Amino acid sequence: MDDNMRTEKDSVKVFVGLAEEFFRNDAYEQAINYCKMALYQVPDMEEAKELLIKCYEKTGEKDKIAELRAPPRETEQKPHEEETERELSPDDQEHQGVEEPEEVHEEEQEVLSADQTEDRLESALSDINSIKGVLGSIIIEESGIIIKEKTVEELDAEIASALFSTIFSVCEDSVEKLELGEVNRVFIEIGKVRIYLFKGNGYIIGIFTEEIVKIGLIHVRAKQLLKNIKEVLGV
Amino acid sequence: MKEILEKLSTIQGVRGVALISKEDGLIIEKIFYDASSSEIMGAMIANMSREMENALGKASDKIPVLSTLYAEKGEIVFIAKSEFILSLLCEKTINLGVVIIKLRETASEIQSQL
Repeated sequence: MDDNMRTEKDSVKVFVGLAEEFFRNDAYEQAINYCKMALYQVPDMEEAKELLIKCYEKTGEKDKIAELRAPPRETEQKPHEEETERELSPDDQEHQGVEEPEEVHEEEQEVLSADQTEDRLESALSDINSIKGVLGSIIIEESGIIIKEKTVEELDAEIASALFSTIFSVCEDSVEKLELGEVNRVFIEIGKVRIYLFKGNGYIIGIFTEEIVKIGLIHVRAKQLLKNIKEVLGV
Repeated sequence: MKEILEKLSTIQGVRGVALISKEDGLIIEKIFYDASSSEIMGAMIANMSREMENALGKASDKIPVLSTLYAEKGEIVFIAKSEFILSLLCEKTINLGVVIIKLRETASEIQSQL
């Protein structure tokens, strides 16, 4: 549980860091997206709230600023309650935390409708595709089922997803015999096209790019998306 | 051939270099610090390369040129030419940029000799 919390906080900090970077570069829309993702995980995170307010000030969305500055409603107080519960000893949690997972689950179901999930996926893939040189990106399940794709028309997403799944399974079989652990990334160069495959949490992200592209940025965004894929999908 | 491969094996973080026949996966030449890895690596890489070409051949008429696999305990980089595959087994700390440049150079050198 502690490890999960730490990972969650770390990933949220990364979101805020990225949002700050976008804010500095006047990319307010993307900064807003990252702030929202951070606040989705830690709703009372002041750092993210302040930055979001600054972004809205820049985009002139005063009504949203007022919403953010309004005192929290009853439902928004849940995270505080959860935090105090997290500080209790494991024995206490056993006795008191029985109802907690149900509440969190209910809250998640309320927050994410099908449209919202679609929007989040769309926004996540748009973020990746906005990197100069990226031709398209695709999220698939380990088994090869497409979750969401945003690629150029010439590329058949269904074939691509089946190929990515096959490539990972072949690589994993081979690497297992070499005792190198789990394969989490594969990079393939075919002519002038590059394919970056990232795997985590049971999902694969495939990104097609041109020859020259900022690999580091692609890596950071794909890793963040994989880390938070279950929250994004609401599963 | 061994002299050419030595250029790659001296790069810091390289655990082994293998020149593999593309057709049957047999090792043509190898330099490995860990003998047990070299035994299986040739066959495994030939298999991976073949599967990738089969899979990607359906989507593209060009064969995969360079592939990099990032695993938990190491990295595998291989370049596939028409007759052979040149592969490297590397530590996680390796400078992959340098490795890829050297790998391309070495593969071209071998190709010209063949």
